[in-house]
Amino acid sequence: MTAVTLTTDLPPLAARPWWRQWGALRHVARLRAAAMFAYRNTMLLFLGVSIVQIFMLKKVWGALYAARPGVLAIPLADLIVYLTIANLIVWSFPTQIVSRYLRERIREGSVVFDLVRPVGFVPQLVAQLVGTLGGALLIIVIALPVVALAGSLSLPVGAQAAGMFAVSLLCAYGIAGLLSMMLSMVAFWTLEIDGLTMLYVLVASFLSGALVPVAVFPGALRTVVEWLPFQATTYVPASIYVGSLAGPEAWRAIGLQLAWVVILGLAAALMWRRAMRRVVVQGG
Amino acid sequence: MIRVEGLTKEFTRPKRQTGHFAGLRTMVTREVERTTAVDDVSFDVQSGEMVGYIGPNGAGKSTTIKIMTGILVPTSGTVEVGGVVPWKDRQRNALQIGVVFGQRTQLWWDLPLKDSLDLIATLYRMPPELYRKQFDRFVDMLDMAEFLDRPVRQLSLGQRMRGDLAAAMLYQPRILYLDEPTIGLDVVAKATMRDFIEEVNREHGTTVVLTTHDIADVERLCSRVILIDHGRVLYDGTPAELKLRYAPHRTLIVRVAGDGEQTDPMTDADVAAFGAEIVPDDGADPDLVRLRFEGGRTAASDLIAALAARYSIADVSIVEPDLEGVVRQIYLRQGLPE
Repeated sequence: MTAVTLTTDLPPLAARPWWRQWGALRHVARLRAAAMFAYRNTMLLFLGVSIVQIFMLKKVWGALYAARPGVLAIPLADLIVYLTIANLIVWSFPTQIVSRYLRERIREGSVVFDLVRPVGFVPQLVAQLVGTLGGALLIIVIALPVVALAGSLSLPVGAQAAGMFAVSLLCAYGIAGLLSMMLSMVAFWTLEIDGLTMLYVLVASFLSGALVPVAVFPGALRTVVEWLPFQATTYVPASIYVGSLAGPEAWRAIGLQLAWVVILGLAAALMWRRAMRRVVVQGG
Repeated sequence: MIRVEGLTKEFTRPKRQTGHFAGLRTMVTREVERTTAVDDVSFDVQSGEMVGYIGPNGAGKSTTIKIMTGILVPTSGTVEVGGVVPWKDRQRNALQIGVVFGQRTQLWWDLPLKDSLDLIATLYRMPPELYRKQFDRFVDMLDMAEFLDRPVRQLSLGQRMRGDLAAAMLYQPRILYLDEPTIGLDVVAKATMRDFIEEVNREHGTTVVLTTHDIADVERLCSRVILIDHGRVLYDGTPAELKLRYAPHRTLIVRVAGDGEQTDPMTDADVAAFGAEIVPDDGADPDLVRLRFEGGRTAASDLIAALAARYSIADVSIVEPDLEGVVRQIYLRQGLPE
């Protein structure tokens, strides 16, 4: 043991709102991304599955178009780009990593540590989501050539489309993030969200339009899908990218995305308040 | 530093139904069961004090700690920690406390230990040079250099606990809550932890609330014990006073010189004058006599001198009452002896 004596004790720190804690939040996000790379083999496996899916979609839709030319209004080449982009968007935000982590923390009670941090729990959660996004995007950039080969990639149809795509994509990530946060918070009540997560992934991947463009859905289903937030996480930005959604219609879709961000944001805040009132920490 | 007054915490949960469709009926029932985990608990802790907060499993210790850290909101009562109501002002409270829950870890499971410590330094806004100093010092004191770069999931329990302790104290919190910090550790690791806690307390005047089932932790570290059971405070005072009050007897073991000469066996009447009594034993060794006496009333030296004057004594030893025995009795009886 050393006899180093510290003469300077820390002065008492003042509380700060989350927007003045960028450093801390950035650090949380960075650690989350680093933790993803600790399991890079799993991540690569998931990416591989996604690439295979893109490839299969290309083959299936190619066969369909060959059998019935003009089955959809959108040209086949654009459709393949759409499907590639849509699947990349889904894959680039693996929110289930954060929900699984949180479920684990809640179930074994170590969530106590997240609750006694000088940075709020919700900002920490958002930072973690941003971290997964960053980590996944990094992997995607590396894998892009393979993805392009499996599916098909091209630049956005124009400068305006590129700008709108960027805005729409941001909203899409916001919506997906909020949905996953609400899903994770369910664990505060049920302690178990595995089944729910599976259901969510299944429903969301279909209704988001990552397999079949939402425009193809038949009447009633399409109406339902348009009233759900899932298509706003994938279909909208991917359609803007390939130009099948453009002009005022695209702006309207982005407006709707923003509305979803607000609605889900409020709902998540309400849920969080209720969760905090009934938080039960597991174990003695 | 810490003021707890009339603290009560009730938990409610749906009443578990029995009989047909019990599971389903449990889910839909509106009937609730109430359990009182903490029942009208009050105490004050002064700045720089080390308090052992002990009690049997399920006594309400962890619930109290969780309220003091701001995680749980009490049903009634007030708590003030360093001038802050913990659950109302979580962030300000968080900045002044460090927490160890021995059965859980605050470290990032998949990342090297050092990464977690780095993050904590950022979260608590430590100036870089102070962090470096603290870091080097803790790595040295807790002997962590060897496993700093290993992912936490690969650490042994002892190593992980050292990491957790370092994480809780790195930013020099004014108050430290240690909930079973030595659980599952071997004797050497326990000693390391205790030395470390003691040194931090001595150097920075850190206030420590220690929950443990290892009474040796309390004897080694705490100048005060608060004993609770069924959510109520049973005792609040020094460990010595606890022993004196509930196990006042010391035992003097005397070996009478067996030099062939037949001496009269000692009787109660012989020793009663010195305020002692003979502890009955199985008589296997007739030369060995156990005398019980009250430490507060009779000095051991007087007793020995008086005995030596009448008997030829080969050897004496004194057995002190141990705190663990006292605590065990209280737990078993589920209440204080009157």
